[in-house]
Amino acid sequence: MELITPVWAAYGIVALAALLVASGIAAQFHRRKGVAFWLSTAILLVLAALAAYEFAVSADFVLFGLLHVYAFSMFFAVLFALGLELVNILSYGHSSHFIEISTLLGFAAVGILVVPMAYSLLTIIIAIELTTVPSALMIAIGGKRDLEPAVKLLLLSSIAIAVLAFAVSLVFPYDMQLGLTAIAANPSIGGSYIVFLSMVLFIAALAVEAALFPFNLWVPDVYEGAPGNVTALVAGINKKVAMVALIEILFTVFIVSRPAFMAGIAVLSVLTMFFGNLAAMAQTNVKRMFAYSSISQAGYIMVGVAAATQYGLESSAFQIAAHMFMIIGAFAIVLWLEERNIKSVEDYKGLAMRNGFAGIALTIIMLSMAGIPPLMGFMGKFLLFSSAISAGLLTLAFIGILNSFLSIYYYGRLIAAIYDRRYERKLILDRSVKAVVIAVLVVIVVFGIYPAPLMAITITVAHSLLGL
Amino acid sequence: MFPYLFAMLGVLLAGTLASLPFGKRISRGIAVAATLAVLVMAALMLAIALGSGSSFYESLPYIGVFGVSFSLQAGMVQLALVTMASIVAFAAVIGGNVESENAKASNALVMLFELAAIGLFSSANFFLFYVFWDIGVIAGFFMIYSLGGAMRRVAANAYLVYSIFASAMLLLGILLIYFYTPVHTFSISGIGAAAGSIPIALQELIFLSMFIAFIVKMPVFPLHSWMPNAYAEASTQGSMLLSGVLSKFGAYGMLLLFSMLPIASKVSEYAFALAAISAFYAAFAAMHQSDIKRMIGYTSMLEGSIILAGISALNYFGTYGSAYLMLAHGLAVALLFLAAGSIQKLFGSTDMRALRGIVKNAGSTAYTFLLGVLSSTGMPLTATFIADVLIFIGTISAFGVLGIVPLLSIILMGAYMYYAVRRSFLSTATFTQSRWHVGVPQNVAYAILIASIFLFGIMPMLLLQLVKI
Repeated sequence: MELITPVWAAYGIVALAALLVASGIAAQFHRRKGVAFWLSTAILLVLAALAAYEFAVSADFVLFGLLHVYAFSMFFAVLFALGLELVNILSYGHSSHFIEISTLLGFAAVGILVVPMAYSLLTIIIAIELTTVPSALMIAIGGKRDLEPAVKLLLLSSIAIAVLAFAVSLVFPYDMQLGLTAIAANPSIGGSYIVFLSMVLFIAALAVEAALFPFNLWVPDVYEGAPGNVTALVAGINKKVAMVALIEILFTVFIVSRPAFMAGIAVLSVLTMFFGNLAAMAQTNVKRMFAYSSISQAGYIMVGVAAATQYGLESSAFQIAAHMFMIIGAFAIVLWLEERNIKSVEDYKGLAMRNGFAGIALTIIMLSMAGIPPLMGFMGKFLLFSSAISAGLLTLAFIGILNSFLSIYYYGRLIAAIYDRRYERKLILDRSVKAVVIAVLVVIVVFGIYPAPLMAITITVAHSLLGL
Repeated sequence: MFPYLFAMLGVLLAGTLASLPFGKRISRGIAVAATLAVLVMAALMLAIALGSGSSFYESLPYIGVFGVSFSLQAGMVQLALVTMASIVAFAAVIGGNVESENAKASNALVMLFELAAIGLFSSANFFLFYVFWDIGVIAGFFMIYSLGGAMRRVAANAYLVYSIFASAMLLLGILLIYFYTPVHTFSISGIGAAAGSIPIALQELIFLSMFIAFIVKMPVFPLHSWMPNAYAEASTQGSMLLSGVLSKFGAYGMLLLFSMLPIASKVSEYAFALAAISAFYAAFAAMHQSDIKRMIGYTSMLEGSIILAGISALNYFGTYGSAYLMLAHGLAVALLFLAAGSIQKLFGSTDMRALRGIVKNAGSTAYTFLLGVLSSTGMPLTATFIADVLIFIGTISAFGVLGIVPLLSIILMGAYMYYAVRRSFLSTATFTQSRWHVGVPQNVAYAILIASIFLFGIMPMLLLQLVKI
């Protein structure tokens, strides 16, 4: 008899997610930072290991009729668990309210992990709500300024949730089903205008969460107003969760209307890339610059969704992973410098002289974001643009490449500032930022130079979602 | 057979990483050792190729999904360029930036850049070509930005914007080729065999995007405007490598592009016309310069245009003449920039209006510079002469009498350069006081470059006999 079976491992994942919440609540009572941190670290790592095991044995079953355990969900479970761990480390070292953050992170983690596993539309809505509300609270607790960013995020995401609920209610009457595959199996789903409207509403609502233009107005204020560790969470993980939800819904429920959503997503993607890059050029505040750059990155990821092929999905999954690590690493350094009141591009001058490691690390992360080989961001963009060309979307690929070029303007400006000669007192990097940044660098360099394993994994992911 | 190309890349990567944690002296030692090892390996490869006439091919599995392998190959053209890059890098490590405060960073950058250059010249597929291209671009950016002169910020930013634009165009072209050849391949030889089946309209698009990418790097009019500042503001090592080696990235790519796409035969006349315009533009622009480094920059642009002219002839002489000019010009321009760097140190200025009688203070530098000028204007016995002869045989047989037109620009250029040399270098009546002296390292570096210029000028059969006619 085997020691561990896929089904038991799946129960284990659910139990660990519950334990994460429980330990977060317990932290409110024992109030020991160290205990809360190590406990959640252990839980997240074991959870990632279990999910990786499920992926390795290519499990495919539905738990409780609610949670779909298959390669797609398990890939993102591993990815997001690792991302959450990085945010956890960052919060431990840098938040004065770590206990509260830990509690809220536990709740948010459940939402984040459930979205890719969701087997019904209702689960997706609830999980997304569970992701955003704790994030808004984290911003409210840790924010240096007023409540404005938290309220902005909360209001816009509640509108998004309402729209989502409406979109669900439009498709529900067709066969009184909420299951993703059950709806997709219904023959009357194609060609109906009501269903089409529902799809548009889904895209719009999730575009708010994923910060696609023109639904991205909350992003810069929230990113700037939130403390850096929460910004890393929102930019690195929450946004990716919304993209995963969008991919799930489009490719299971609405797969029959593929030409329509291809066009729609392509338009959103182009607008998002241009808006993000052009707005980022105008920023002097580094945090805002990264906020806009992450908007443009969302546009790149959507190129793969617009291609709507297996190859496109692979590349989107690859770039989701790449950007999650890159942006968490970038915001880790930004957070650390912000505490020393270094905020604008002007303030960053001479960073390489004040702390060589941070200078080189931020440079590598930005080069990766700009898509310079041999780094992970390059592989991601390479896959995305080639997927667009292979799907026949030449113009989209061209615009993507053009935008990739535009982005070098603001990344280059900041890199130039970092290597300016200015002698000032040295800055010491603390342990938590160093740990996060080293982890991120290892990932983006290793998968940049040798992307083959991750590409093989994303192929399995795309296969499992498309049911091939 | 011993994997020379992989060994070169390995040595350079190890050298780059190893030189980072150490101080100035040790990092310099590492850089000298690594670049010397690479030079020796390049010489061995040349010897093997001469002996057996074989070319080199080394391969490792890389990204199976795309059918991309980590394959390096070297025939005659590649071998010439690899040799040139290793000579220039070795001379740059020995003679450039010796006393600079940032010597540690600059040694690491030279090795990184040489890694990119050798990887690019020997890459057997366009995926690796693009990867090494961008590594070279970024290394070049830091050579300008963090080690350069007073106006380095403007220069580096312009350089970066142009270069990344070129990279984007190159990427577009590569992706288009990959998806529109029926066999879906990045392999350079595979594309050459399959490119005929790409529709004409698409071939035009591919050609245009890659042509733009390569003329930015060569540089050729009208996408050259990053060049004067970048060459003038980079560190001495930076100028040597940017003008000697980085410009060959574009030239080598252009050679591949013309030999790869069948549509090249339809556009070759336009390319030749552009090359002629660019050559005269460069010659006239050079006459406006009073700064030595900028003047050298424009000569480099002129030679780039001549290379383009040779490539556009699309025949044996033009193509191999261009490849030979890449080698010859790389050596000559590196020599000129090395001498100019010494002049900057000697007199604190490179303004020809102020400099007089350099030969009095620094004889070796003055004569070296003169030799560099002679070499870039194609004096017999220098490698450039061989290249120019081949190129103009090629262009005349392709375009008739018009083929000789770009040669006039070399004459124009030469006239101005001799004038400048006579005024600033050789006049002994009045002279500027020096504040530094040229040491042994500089003289050794001069000697290495001069020796190789004459070696490949007197014995062109070292490389040309490898070509099958």
